[in-house]
Amino acid sequence: MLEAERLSYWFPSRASTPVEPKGMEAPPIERAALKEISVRFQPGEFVLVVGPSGCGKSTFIQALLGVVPALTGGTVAGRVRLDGEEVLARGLAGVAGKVGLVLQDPESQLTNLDVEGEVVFGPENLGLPREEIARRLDWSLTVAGIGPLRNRFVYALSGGQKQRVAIAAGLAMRPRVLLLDSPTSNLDPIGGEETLKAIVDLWRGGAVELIVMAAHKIDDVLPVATRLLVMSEGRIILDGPPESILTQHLLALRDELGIFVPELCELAVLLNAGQGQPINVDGTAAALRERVRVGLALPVEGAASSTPTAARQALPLTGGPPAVEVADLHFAYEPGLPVLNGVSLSIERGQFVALLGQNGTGKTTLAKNIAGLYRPTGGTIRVGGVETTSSATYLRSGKVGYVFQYPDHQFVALTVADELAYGLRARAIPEPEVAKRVALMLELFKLSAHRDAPPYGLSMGEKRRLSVATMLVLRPDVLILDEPTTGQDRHNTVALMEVLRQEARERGMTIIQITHDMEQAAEYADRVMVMDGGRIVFDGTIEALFADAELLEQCHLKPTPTSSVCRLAWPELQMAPATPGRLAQLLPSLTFPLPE
Amino acid sequence: MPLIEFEEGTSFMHKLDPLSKLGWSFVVLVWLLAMRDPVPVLALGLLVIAVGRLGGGLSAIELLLTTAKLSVIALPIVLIQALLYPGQTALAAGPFGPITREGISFGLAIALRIVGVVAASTIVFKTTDPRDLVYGLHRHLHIPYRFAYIIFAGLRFIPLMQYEAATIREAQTVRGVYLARSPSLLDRLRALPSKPLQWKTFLVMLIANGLRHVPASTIALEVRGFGLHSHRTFYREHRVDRRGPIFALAWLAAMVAYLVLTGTSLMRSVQSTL
Amino acid sequence: MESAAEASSQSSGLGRLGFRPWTTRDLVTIALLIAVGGVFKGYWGGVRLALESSLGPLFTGWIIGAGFSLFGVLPLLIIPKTGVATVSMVAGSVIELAVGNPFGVEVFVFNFWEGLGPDIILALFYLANGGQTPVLGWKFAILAGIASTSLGAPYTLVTRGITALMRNFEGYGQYAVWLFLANRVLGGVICGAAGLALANSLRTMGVIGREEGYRVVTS
Ligand SMILES: Nc1ncnc2c1ncn2[C@@H]1O[C@H](COP(=O)(O)OP(=O)(O)OP(=O)(O)O)[C@@H](O)[C@H]1O
Ligand SMILES: Nc1ncnc2c1ncn2[C@@H]1O[C@H](COP(=O)(O)OP(=O)(O)OP(=O)(O)O)[C@@H](O)[C@H]1O
Ligand SMILES: [Mg+2]
Ligand SMILES: [Mg+2]
Repeated sequence: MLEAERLSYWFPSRASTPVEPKGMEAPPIERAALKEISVRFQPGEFVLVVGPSGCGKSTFIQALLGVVPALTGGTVAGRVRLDGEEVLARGLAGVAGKVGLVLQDPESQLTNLDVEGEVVFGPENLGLPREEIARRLDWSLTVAGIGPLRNRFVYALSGGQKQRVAIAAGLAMRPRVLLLDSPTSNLDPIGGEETLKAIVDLWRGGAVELIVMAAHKIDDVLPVATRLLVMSEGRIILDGPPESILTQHLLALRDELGIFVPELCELAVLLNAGQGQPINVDGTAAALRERVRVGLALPVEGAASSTPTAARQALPLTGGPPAVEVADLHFAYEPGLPVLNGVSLSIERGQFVALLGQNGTGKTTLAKNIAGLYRPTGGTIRVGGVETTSSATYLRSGKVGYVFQYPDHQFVALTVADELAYGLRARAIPEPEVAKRVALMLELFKLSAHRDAPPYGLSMGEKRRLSVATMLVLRPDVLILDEPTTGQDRHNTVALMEVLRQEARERGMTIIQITHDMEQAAEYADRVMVMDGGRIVFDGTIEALFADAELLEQCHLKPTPTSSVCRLAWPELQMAPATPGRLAQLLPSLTFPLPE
Repeated sequence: MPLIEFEEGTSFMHKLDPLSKLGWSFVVLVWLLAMRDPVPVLALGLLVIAVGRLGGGLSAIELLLTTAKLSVIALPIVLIQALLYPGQTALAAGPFGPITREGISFGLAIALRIVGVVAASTIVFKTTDPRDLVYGLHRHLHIPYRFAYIIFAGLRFIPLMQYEAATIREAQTVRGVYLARSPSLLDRLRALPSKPLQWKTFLVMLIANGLRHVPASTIALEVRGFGLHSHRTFYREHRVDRRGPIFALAWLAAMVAYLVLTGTSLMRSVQSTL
Repeated sequence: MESAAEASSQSSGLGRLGFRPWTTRDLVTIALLIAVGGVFKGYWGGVRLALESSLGPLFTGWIIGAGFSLFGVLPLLIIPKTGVATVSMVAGSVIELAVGNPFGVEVFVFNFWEGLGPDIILALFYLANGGQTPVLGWKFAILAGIASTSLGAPYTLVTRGITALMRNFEGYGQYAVWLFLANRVLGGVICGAAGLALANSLRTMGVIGREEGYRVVTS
């Protein structure tokens, strides 16, 4: 029903004096964002599109309904057809009402004041009769599961609720095709789960005929998806049933292409489990049990070797004061509404701590207090033994770096090099030293090629690296990162985390990372802390955390698939390994009797 | 965070149509501008507050407090008029000539206008759903929907920009753009020359972060057929209450009557300030 | 495509004055600039209260006015189409009032002048350029800034009773008026310079740029 035929697309040149050829001549194909894509979608499909950051997923999705090139400009070749009708030539008028689109950023795509207004907006524009609009309104609110939100103002909704409003608004057009561009990658886990559930329900309920969805993490939609497209550098390089592609090309996808593959698939491949069968926790656990029962060593050379396995020992204690020490910290944005209710913690030099907890428990608030952005209402904070709450010059000292969730908020200069130099100059570091340190950072973060480019024009992964670099260049003792890897592909995530880990090892920098990503916490953190209700309710290793089912439930945390599988395979195991890498390390030495 | 002034309600003022209410607030403005004595200016202001209390169910105290905040701006006006106005009845000697009763009175009249002006618009916007306002602009003033819609979109984006502004300020503080918390007075004075640059850095980033939403919002609008057809349905029910125009016209008539009866010509009033 | 539309709109009378059809993108940009302006004016209102309460309105108008008029000039530097400034400012005042602008319905009046001024200057630049989109540099920015801050001057002069002081010739009344006007012009210059600096930075960052049509080729 929807097809692309030799579809190529070139963005308009960003240079101020464009050197593009005019007329009918196509620009060189290497410069294209989409390169001769031919693909055909049938009614009844649920298609996932994956690929590294910048491979053209968004561009492709937008070209399927003519947004590219109608709104983006540039040059296009080839065709897109919807039910045999040309899409590209007719612009958006041709698809209005037939194709729904949900974008990544929940904020930008809601353009009305209240939920009802947002959902009826499309049908109103089509000039439908009121009764029909009323019917569609009720139907889409129900299908998206947001009936009770009907009269709320959109700005007061959570991210997940916003995305579901966007879905409902798309559905109200009664589209046959629904396109989703990374609809969960800006959301926290609960918002992401809500959104995915709405999408899956919609699919199961048959509300639309075709779903095409781009995503970075596909663990949760894998069970319903019928087809997987893998993109790389503007081309579709793989196309087929998800599980067979994932199991056949797992290592290439993960390590060469650098995308996230579902951890369960990693395990299944590691264990060579149930070829051709659906991949799920039960089956994988059974395979694991079987493996160990027959005493087979695991094929370690596959998944295990390339997964970075952390040596988890902390630095030898220096005997000095803890890097960060918080005692009975209280804080409230508004009097009478406390957000932090007596937080106490102590972090040694060189530790890598993951701060976990559900939305709104005060992780960001705690971190900003440590960074000196807020004045606590009670308690003390010491950094390197020095009390910060009384020191006015603390913020300027650059002892504590803070990386905000969206790099765009943090940029202050017009070139990458100036951006890096900014903090140093603000702290009156001599210019030769500034130049030296900036060059070092450009090198370390592979940004040398962009030194004179405006930070704003970098790719998301580069922006992220730059925002971390602007803090590292100040050589802070403590670096706080607030969800630094949301919406990143695996390659970018690993590269960033490796640099951080290296800094922690070599300079003894202490890292506090706020994250919702359990796999990442399991992989990199020496220690995890969990916040709930404005307090620290857990402090220890991630294995110990995953062993505490009650606490997980209370704090809305989910163990990693590896942890779940191991737990199911050996219920009596005290500390189940939390990453495939650690499982692989552990297995050969496992000696206790196994259940039959 | 209460973003929009509007509060749901069923009062008389809530039931009137938005354009009539806006018209009314302009009548109040013109009426206030035509008067030059502090006493009737204050009386009219209080009358407006009474309308808010009785007709809109709003708190009179709150309305007064809202206007009181602006005394900061009003007081200098009184002061300047008192010092410089060429009146007859000298009360005391001032640095630029005598301080006259007329000067103080004129200054007070100007300053007290704030009460009525601010109260009237507060009443209008506290009792008007912005959705009805946009509809009214489109339906009765024949402003094309595409333009009237800007008001919606702007309102929608305000909380987003508030959040972005706060985050940018914090992020820039971490970067070292601003001074540490509670700097000394000396530090503040030293930092004065770098203020314009700080404002620029802040504004550039705020605008850039704002405009970052343009492509996605444009797509979201166009995909849903925004501006595709000249005809468009309006799903929301819009009550038409005849009392709106009557209310506004009654006030207009009252103003004309007052001005005629007291012999205040609008023209003369303007001339007298020249 | 685009150039054909451009050519046809240039030939008409309104086209020669820089009136162009507005795209959805333009409308969204305006809405976002209004929101940015609304939030900024919130911060700026604080500065205004602080400055005016300490130094008085006659000595601070130049800096205060520049901050408010900025959002009459900036939209035109981003979307060079006549009418954008007035619509931005008037729609902006509705929004500011709806979220609780403390100055009341008068902001309509002020904002209208502050937007109309730059629009008039833009129309003149179009006219001088034969209806073609002019290059907007510092000349435009400064003139538009002055127009923005000064067009509303008569209204303020009269309603704030400053002209009434003129008759105080033995005293210092006329100085008050001159001070007031000088404030406006200086404010306009600052506003224009600030607007241009902002627009240039945004352009360097690649946030704003020209809008283009697309073309279809055979591969
Ligand atoms: N407006 C633009 N002008 C020029 N190039 C662009 C523009 N938008 C995107 N690109 C480039 O086109 C390529 C494809 O971008 P696209 O956004 O489609 O990637 P993506 O796969 O969706 O990435 P992500 O996973 O980060 O969302 C990238 O190299 C990107 O830098
Ligand atoms: N600027 C603010 N003003 C008032 N309340 C705030 C502000 N910022 C956060 N809050 C409130 O404080 C609480 C804690 O928020 P915080 O952002 O610290 O949570 P979090 O744990 O970081 O959540 P998330 O995982 O969603 O980032 C929430 O209830 C939030 O609504
Ligand atoms: Mg994308
Ligand atoms: Mg947070």
